[in-house]
Amino acid sequence: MSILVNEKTKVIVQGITGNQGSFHTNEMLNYGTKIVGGVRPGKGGQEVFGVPVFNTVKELLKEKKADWSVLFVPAPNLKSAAFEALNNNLNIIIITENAPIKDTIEIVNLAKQKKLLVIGPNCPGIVSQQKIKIGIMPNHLFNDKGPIGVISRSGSLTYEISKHLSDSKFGQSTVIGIGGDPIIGIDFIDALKLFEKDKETDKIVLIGEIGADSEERAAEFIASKMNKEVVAYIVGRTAPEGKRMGHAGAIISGNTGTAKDKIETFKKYHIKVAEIPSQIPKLLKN
Amino acid sequence: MRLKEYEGKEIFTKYNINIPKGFVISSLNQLSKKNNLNSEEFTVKAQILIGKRGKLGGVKFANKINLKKSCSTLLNKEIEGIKVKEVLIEEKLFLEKQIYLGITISRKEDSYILIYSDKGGAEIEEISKSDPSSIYKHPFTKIDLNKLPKFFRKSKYKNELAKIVYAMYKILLDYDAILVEINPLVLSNKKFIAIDSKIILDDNALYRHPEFIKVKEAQLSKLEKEAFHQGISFVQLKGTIAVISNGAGLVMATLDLLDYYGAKPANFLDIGAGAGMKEIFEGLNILLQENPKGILINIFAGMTRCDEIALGIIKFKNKYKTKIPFVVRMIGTNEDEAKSILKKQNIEMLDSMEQCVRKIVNMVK
Repeated sequence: MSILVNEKTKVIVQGITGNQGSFHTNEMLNYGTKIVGGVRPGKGGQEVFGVPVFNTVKELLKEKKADWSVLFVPAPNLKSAAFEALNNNLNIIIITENAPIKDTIEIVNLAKQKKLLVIGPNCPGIVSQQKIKIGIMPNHLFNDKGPIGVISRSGSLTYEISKHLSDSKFGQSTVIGIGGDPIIGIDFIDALKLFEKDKETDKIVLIGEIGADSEERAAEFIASKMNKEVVAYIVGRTAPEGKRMGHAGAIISGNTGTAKDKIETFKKYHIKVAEIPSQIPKLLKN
Repeated sequence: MRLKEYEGKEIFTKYNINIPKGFVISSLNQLSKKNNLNSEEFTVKAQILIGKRGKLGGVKFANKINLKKSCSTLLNKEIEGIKVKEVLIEEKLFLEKQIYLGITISRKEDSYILIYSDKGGAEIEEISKSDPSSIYKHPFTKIDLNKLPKFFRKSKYKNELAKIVYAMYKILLDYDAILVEINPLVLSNKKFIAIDSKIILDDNALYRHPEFIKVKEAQLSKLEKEAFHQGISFVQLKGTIAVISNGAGLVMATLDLLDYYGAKPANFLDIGAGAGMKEIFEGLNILLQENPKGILINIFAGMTRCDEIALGIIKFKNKYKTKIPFVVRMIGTNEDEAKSILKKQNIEMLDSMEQCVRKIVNMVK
C-alpha cells in the first residue's frame, strides 16, 4: 500500500494541450502513470502523446473511469476547471501557481462538502516510488523505493531533499508536495495520519517553511498521536520578517510564524530538526 | 500587498464605514491649502507600512498652534529605515469605546475568520495572550447576517456592528483582500468610527484589480520594481553574497546554508518554475546592481532546462565581463548538456548545493 494513490489509480489531465500540460503528460506516462484522458475546451478529438482529449470532464467520464484529475490550467481559469472536476466526483491535484486565495477557499470548501480530496495548489504533486507519479517531479530522481515518507510545502526543495535521501540509501515510499499557498487542501496533519497507517512507511521527513502555524500544529500532532518517527527541516531562518498580517495573524495563531518559533516548537516536543539538508539522513539513522 | 491607512480609509468610505474627517499632505506648504477641518485638536499620522507605528513615534497629537510643527517633525523622518513621504491629518476624536474588528483567512479552517474584541487598541496582541477570553473568533465561509455569532447578539450595538462587519466582508470579497482590520473602531457621538485601517490585498489576484498595480509599484524599490516587471520574485537583504535560485523553498534553503557557513545573503531571488535563458539573464542583471562580493547560482531543474540556464549565464558573462566571483550549481533536466556548455567557457558546474555554498563563502573571504 502507499498513501492516496497506487499503481491502479486512473488519472486525467486538465489543461493537457498547454506547454506544461503536454510535457508533463508525457513524463507521467513515461513514469508508468495510467492517464486515461485529457481535457481542454475546444480541443476535443485531438490526442496528446496518444492520450485522447475531450472538451469537458463530463464527456471524458462517459467513456473512461478516473479517480484523480491533475490541473495544469492557468490561475484565472483554475476555479472553473477545479469545480468541473469536483462536480464530477474527481479528487484533484492543483499544480497551478499564483491562484487567488479567494478561489482556493471556494475550491477547498466544495471538495469538503463533496468529501473529495485536494492536493495543492502551487505544489509539485505526489509520487509513489516506482508505482505512479501525478505531478511534475523529475522522473529520474524519483526512482528509489524505500521506507521514508516525505511531506513538503515546497517544490524544488522537495527534489533536493529526496535526492539527499536517495544518495544516502534512504529510498522513499510516497513523496507528497502539499503546496506553498496559505490555503491548501491536504495539510501536514492529513498527510501524517496517512503515513502513520501506511505499511510501506517507517519514518517520515517533514519539510516546512516560515509563515503561519501549520508546522506548529503538525508538531503537536506528531507528539500526541504518532508512533512513527518524524524528522523535520524548516527553511527560512534568514528570511526577512514577512509582511505581517496585521494583528489578526498573531491573534489567530499566537505566534509570529518565524523559523525560530517553529524549530523551537519541534524541539519542545522532542522532534529532531535538521539544520541543513545533509543532516536529514544522519538524523534518520540515529 | 498592504494598503496605506488613507488608501484603506478611502475604501471604507465607499462602503459607508465612517472615518474621521481628514486629509493627506506630502509637503508642508500643502497644509494651509488643504486644511478645512473645524477642529481644535488633531492627530498626525505617518503613512508608512510598518506595524506598531504609534509606538515607534509615527503618530503625533497636535493643537491648532503646533500642528505645522508636528507635521514637519514627521514628514521626511525615517522610521525603521522607511522615509515618511505622506502624513494623514485628522480631527482628534473623543474615544468612548475601543473595539477591535478584523476579518482574515484561517488556514486551520480553510475559510475566513472574524475576530472581535471590545478591548481594542494598540495593546490588542498583548491582550490576546494575557486575556484570551476577551477575544472572539468566528470562522466562516459566507456571512449570514441572521446568524451572527453570540458575542454580537448580546451587544447593545449589534445592528451597527453587523453593518460594519458586513461592509468589511464585502470589501474582502470585492477587492480580493486577505485582511481587513479596524483597530480601533470607536464610538464617538453615538456613531462608530474607524480610527485606523489595515487592508492587505492578495497579490495573486492583482490581475482582477489592475488599478492597484500602480499602488503596488509605488511600494517597491528600484530593483524590486525591475524584478516585478520581469515576473521575478525578489527581496533585497543586507548581506554581500547575491543568490539566484528556483522555487521559494530552495531559495530559502540556500540563504539558510549561506548563513550556516558564516556568510550573509544579499537578496532573495526566485526565477520561478520553468524559467529559461531570459529569466536567468535578467535575474543576474538585477543582482549585479546590488554590487555583491560574490554570486551563487543554485538551480534544481524540473520544468527548467539546465542548458538554457547555462546559455543565459554565458550571455551575461560576455555582456558584463564582471570580475565578481560566482559559482554555479545545477542539477536536473539536461544537466549534462549544461555542464559541457559551461566547461567550454571555463566555468565549473558543481552538483552539490552545500559544496557550492562553501566554495563561494571561501572565495569572498
